[in-house]
Formats: sequence, C-alpha cells, structure tokens
Amino acid sequence: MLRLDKEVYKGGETIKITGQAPPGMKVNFIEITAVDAKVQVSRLDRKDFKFYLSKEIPAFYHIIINEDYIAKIDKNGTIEEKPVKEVYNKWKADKKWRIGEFLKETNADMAFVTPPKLVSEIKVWKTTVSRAIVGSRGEPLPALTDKKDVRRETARLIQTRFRNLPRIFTLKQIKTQDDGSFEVTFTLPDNAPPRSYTVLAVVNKEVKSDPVKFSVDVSFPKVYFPVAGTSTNIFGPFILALAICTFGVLMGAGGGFILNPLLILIYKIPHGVVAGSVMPTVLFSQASGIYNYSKIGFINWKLGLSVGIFMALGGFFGPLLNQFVTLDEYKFVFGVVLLILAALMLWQTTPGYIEKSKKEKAILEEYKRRAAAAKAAKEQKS
Amino acid sequence: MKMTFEFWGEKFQANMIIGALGGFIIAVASSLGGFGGGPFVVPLMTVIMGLPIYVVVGSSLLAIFFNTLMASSRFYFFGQTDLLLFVVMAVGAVSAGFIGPRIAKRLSPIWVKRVAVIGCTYLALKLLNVPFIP
Repeated sequence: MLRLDKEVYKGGETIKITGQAPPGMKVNFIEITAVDAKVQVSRLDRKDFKFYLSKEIPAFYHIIINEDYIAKIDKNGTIEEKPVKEVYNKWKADKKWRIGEFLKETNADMAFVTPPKLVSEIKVWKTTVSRAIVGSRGEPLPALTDKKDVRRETARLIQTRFRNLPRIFTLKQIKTQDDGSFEVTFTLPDNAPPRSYTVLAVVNKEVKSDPVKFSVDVSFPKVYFPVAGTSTNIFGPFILALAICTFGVLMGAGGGFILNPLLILIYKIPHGVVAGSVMPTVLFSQASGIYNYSKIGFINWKLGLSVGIFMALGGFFGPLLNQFVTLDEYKFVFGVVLLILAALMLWQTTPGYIEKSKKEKAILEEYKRRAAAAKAAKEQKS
Repeated sequence: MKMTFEFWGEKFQANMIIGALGGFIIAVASSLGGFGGGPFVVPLMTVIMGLPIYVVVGSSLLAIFFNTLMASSRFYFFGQTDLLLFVVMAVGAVSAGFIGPRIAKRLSPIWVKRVAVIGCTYLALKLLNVPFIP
C-alpha cells in the first residue's frame, strides 16, 4: 500500500509518501520515474566503440535509498554486508562512478524497475573510422533485445543523461514503524518535467508495492523544453540570450561563444541539445547580412563559395563529433576555443591593430560608398 | 594552389590550401560547439591568407553560412534541436541585432573588447576545470 498527499504537484514541491509494508519489514528504496516525458540520450562506449541511442529515457528518474540500510553483496557464496552510506559516499566522491556497480553494491538494482519497462528500443552502431569519415555513426547492429542488455544499457544512458550521482540517488531516512507503516518526503526539483510519474516502494526483491501515479503541472511562465527535458521559466533563457547576444554584437562575435557554456552551466541542458538549438539561431542574421552585402556587390562569390564548400564539409562532421564526445571533452574543446578567442580580441585592442584597422575601415567605407554610388547610377540609367 | 579572383576591378590571389584547411578546421570546431565561426574566419582570411578586410567582410559571411546551414540541418536530423529553445534563443538573438548597434554608438569598442577578453578567459578557465575558480 502506498499513498501520496496529493495527485498533482508543481516543480519544487515536496511529496509526502506514506504507506504500509508487511509488519516487521522495512521499506528500503523508493523509485520515482517520469513516465510521459522522455528524452533522447546517446553514448559512445570507448571500450568497444559502440554507439548506443534511445529516445525513451525518462526525463526525470530518482531512487531514494534508506540511509540505515545495510547492503548485502553475494561474493562467490559468502555474503558481505556493508552500510549503504559507505558505498554511497565512496561512489559519490568518484567522478568516474559507474551506475551498474553502484546499483549492485547498494542493492538498489532491485528498485531499478520502471526504466527498463519504458525503453522498448536501444539502437546500436559499431563506430569505425572509415564510417565516421563518410559522416555516419557507424555500422548499424541489431537493436538490443535481451532483457539484461536493455536493463544494463538503460542504466548507463540514465547515468549519461543525469551525470552526477546525487541527481539520480538520494540517501534519506525512510521511517518504518514496527507495524510496517512508513513515511518519507521527497522534494521535486524545480525543473521537473510535466505529466505522469510513478512511485514504487521496495522492501526487497520479492516485496514491492504497486506503483502509484501522480503528475507534475508546469504552467506559464514556466515551460517544458521537450528535447532538453527540462522545465524552466521561459524568460530566463530569453533574457540570457538577449543580454549575451547584445554583448556579442558589441564585441563583434556572435553570442554562441558565451551563451552555450552558460546554458550548460546554469540550466544543465545536455551539450548536444545546446549546440543543436543555438546553432540555427544565427541563420537569419547571416542570411540578411549576405543579402545586404550582395545588394551592393560586396561579396566575392568565388572566394566565399570555395572556402564555403570546405566549411560545409566541416559542418557535416562537427555535429557527429558532438555526439561522440562527453560533456567533459566538450567543455575542454570549448575552453580552448574561448582562450583563443580571448587572445584574438586582446590582440585587437593593441595600439598597432587599432591604427591598422582605422585605415582599413576608412578604405572599407570608401568602397561601400563607391558601391552604393555605382548601384544608384545603374538604377538611374534603367 | 593559388586562386585568382577579381573584386571591384582589383586582382587578388588567395592560397586555397590554407583557405580550405583552415575553413574546414574552424567549421568542425564551430559546429561541434554550436557557435558561429565569424571571429575565426575573418582573421583566417585577413591575417593568414593576407586579404584586405573589405574583400573579406561579405565573403566570409557567405562561407560561414554554409557551415551553419549544414550543421543546423545535421543537428536537426540527429534529433538534437529543441525547437522551443531554438525559438526563444532566436527571438533573443534577433532582438539583440536591433538593440546592439544602438548601444554600440555610445560605447568604446576597445573597452567592450577588454571586458569580453576578461569574460571569455574566465569562462574558459571555468570550463577547463582550473582549480580555485569560483
């Protein structure tokens, strides 16, 4: 038996979970899953260069672990006992934590129930250099079907999505009385995705509650970004984009340089989604710039097209690489690019450069004037 | 490999091996990160390829447009574009295009650049996980 104090919650609200376990038993895990809001997650396994992708990873997933629980691990027949707190803190401190081992060592794998049921398909590719050169993810392999494989890979994709251990697992006191009645509270994160969730209480492998449903309501000005898988006040990203892009116009570089890392650091949006959503925003300004320059004959098509073809080729590979790199590698590349940009801009503030650019600007203005005059003369003739 | 072209009656020569390789590398980095390549392509064409700025301003924009168009469609087909986030960002970016030039007249571009240098360096150090960066 499991009960919640309400049916509908908002992000940031606290859920009070109460229920009744069989007398004498203790509830050790509570699983909370968003079952409607799902996101696409992909991962490149560096050991065998297989690329995994699923579009059905829950946009929110959490397991509450009872902090007094003593985990039992079967090691070749002898059962080893370890307080779950110890295991939790060990893996929490490890940047390279592995969800599979964590689930096993805490016994939380018996509460890892819902995601494998939600995920109906995990696609797999075998990545090879030759395939990557032609811009493909690799050689398609049959999708995972074996239940164990799906379960293992689903857990890994969840780790890829949420990254930090405390974003998936919480240690908490689950108070269970002698008669089996228990109580625990859980605070939903502010960015919780909307629609249906299920809650499941787990005593052990055999004794589990039936899932109970609740839903999260996201209402304006908060909105849900379906691909990013996060709910947030719509004015937040808007004001950020406006402020950063205005500054970008002033410094003479687009806003993406500063906008992308901020979206990742502040809103924890996956780097693939950040790149995929910010990149197209400059299309309009670029197109209108090209149109304006072409009107006054200020584009050399031969130069622009011949460099452009190679840039299109680069733009073909970049997004593929974006999927293959981890967030840390993405941050590293971005950090290096930003340092180069800072150095370039520093150089542009040196007296020598300013002097040179003044002269060049004068020539540029002169050319623009001539171009406009030539165009006016042409129009007068016709 | 030199390419010759004419711009407003003047003849120019461009080293296309540098242009192709540089453009390709910039495009890979920029589409991996999801930013425009403008601030890198312009120095590539002026400083490294030795072309004057008035030849480069329009033509570099055309070259970058190819990268943006290709990368955007690739991201879209990979299912990595959040259309709502895109719309919010695009409205912000387009509005900035109107506001920016108005403010620009009242500000010294040198000081804006200096602030940007500090901002970019700070962000870079943070992304590179340099210790003791708040």
